[in-house]
Amino acid sequence: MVLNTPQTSIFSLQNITVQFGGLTAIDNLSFEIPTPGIYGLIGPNGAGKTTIFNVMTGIYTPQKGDVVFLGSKVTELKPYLMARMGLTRTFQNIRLFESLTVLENVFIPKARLLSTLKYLFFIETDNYKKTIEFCREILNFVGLSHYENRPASSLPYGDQRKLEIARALALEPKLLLLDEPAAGMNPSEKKELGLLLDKIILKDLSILVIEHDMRFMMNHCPRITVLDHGKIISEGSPSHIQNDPAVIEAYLGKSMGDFS
Amino acid sequence: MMFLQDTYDYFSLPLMLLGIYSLMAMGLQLILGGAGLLSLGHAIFFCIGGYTSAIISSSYLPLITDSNLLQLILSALCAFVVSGFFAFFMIIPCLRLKENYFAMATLALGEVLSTVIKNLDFTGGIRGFKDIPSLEINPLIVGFIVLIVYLALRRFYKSSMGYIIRATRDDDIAVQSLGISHFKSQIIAFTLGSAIAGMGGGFYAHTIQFMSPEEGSFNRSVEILLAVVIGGMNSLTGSLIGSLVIVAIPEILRFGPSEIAQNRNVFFASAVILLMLFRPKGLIKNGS
Repeated sequence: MVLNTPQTSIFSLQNITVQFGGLTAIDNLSFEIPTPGIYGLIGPNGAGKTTIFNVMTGIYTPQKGDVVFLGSKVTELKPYLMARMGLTRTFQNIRLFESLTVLENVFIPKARLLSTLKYLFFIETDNYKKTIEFCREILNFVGLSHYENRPASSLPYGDQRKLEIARALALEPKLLLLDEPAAGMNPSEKKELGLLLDKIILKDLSILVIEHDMRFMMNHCPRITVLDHGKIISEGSPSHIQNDPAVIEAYLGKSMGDFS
Repeated sequence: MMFLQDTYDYFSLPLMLLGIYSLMAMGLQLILGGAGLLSLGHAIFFCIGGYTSAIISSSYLPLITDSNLLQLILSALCAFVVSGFFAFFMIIPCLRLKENYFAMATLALGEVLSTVIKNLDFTGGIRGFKDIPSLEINPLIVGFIVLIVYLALRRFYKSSMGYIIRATRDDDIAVQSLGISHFKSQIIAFTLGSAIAGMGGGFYAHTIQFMSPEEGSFNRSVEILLAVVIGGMNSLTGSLIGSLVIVAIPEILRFGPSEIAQNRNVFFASAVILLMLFRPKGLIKNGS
């Protein structure tokens, strides 16, 4: 256990470096989620956003640096153990359990805690009922109750995204990572998603969002980190980010001088 | 009465074979349809179960009890446990490979184990294991076991591990993000499915009263795979129907005109091709 950060910090990356062959995807990066809330992570394509997610969830092990979650060092922990500690994610390309129904999808994160043998021999079925009830509440919370028994793959796109979030919430995580949740959504779906995020944050958890939709990010993330070429180039409130010359340069390029 | 007796005698063997194939097919359905793992060495666990049953029922079991039924049940249980034990240790290295490569590894596994059996002394080597007691096995007992396994598997699919296995098949990366070890669920599905095949092998040994290393050949693995695919991979009931097709059609063709009867493999193969053309997802499409 390394306790470099104060106990209050939920998650931190400390001097992380990730290299693929000769390419440095993340370069000596430090990043912290100090208090509960919604955090945003933006940056041009190839800036290393998804790599950071993969480091955070334990899919990649960084060559250098430490990952600290809820006060303990988790740098080399496997993804499923990270999830058991309370860190889960959604995916850029939706990954639902397509042959299962909506309710069953939400049931999966809780299924691990239920006994199979006791169920097989009819000894203990109350826990199952309680868990199903819990899953129904979550579906109700995100507004998918009416789809309960439909196969997950038959849902409209926006609702599939919501279901993925509901499934992650069923794990009762401390930190939820959303990988481009608004991608491919129409304006009304985006609005609904925003409302859902505002509702989720009232529960005791933190959210880190990667998203390309700037308006969405500016509206919902009080604190945004901008990444370019594996480095943090700016950090702060939306208005601060919008006026930072380094951010403008990363997205639009450098001014070639005055042409007038 | 003579006629009835003859009919029963004639049908008891195909019926028992049907039950045994159904057990194997249900086991493979759990591995293929449930966990999404293509096992091409399924028959080797059937073979291991058969030998286990053969060895203990011809030497140890008579010392424990005189009851044929009890001996039969004990030998089937041993076949279940021993083949499950083998499957458990075989699957772990195989799972380092994915999809087609995994299938190739299970194919190789089957061939290797079958060669090992050929070269051991206590299995009877290449000549096979003779004079296995029949223990008065009959279609009723086998049918009863098939029913029990069918109902248990149905309930298993509705249990937490059943759902986890199906979720792992759908997306092994997503389950990891939800705190589930995908290896664990795949190992459980493969071990359980192979153990059920082993139990089928145990009954087979008493039915035929002879085991040879050829019983675990690739041919039989494919036959069972065919039964599962014909019935519909995602349906447990489908694998029962698939086994019925696999056992009954060649048996029915036997009664046809001599041209058909002599070439029944050709007709059977054509029937399977037609079936797959018109119902590519199997006879039963949906269900667990």
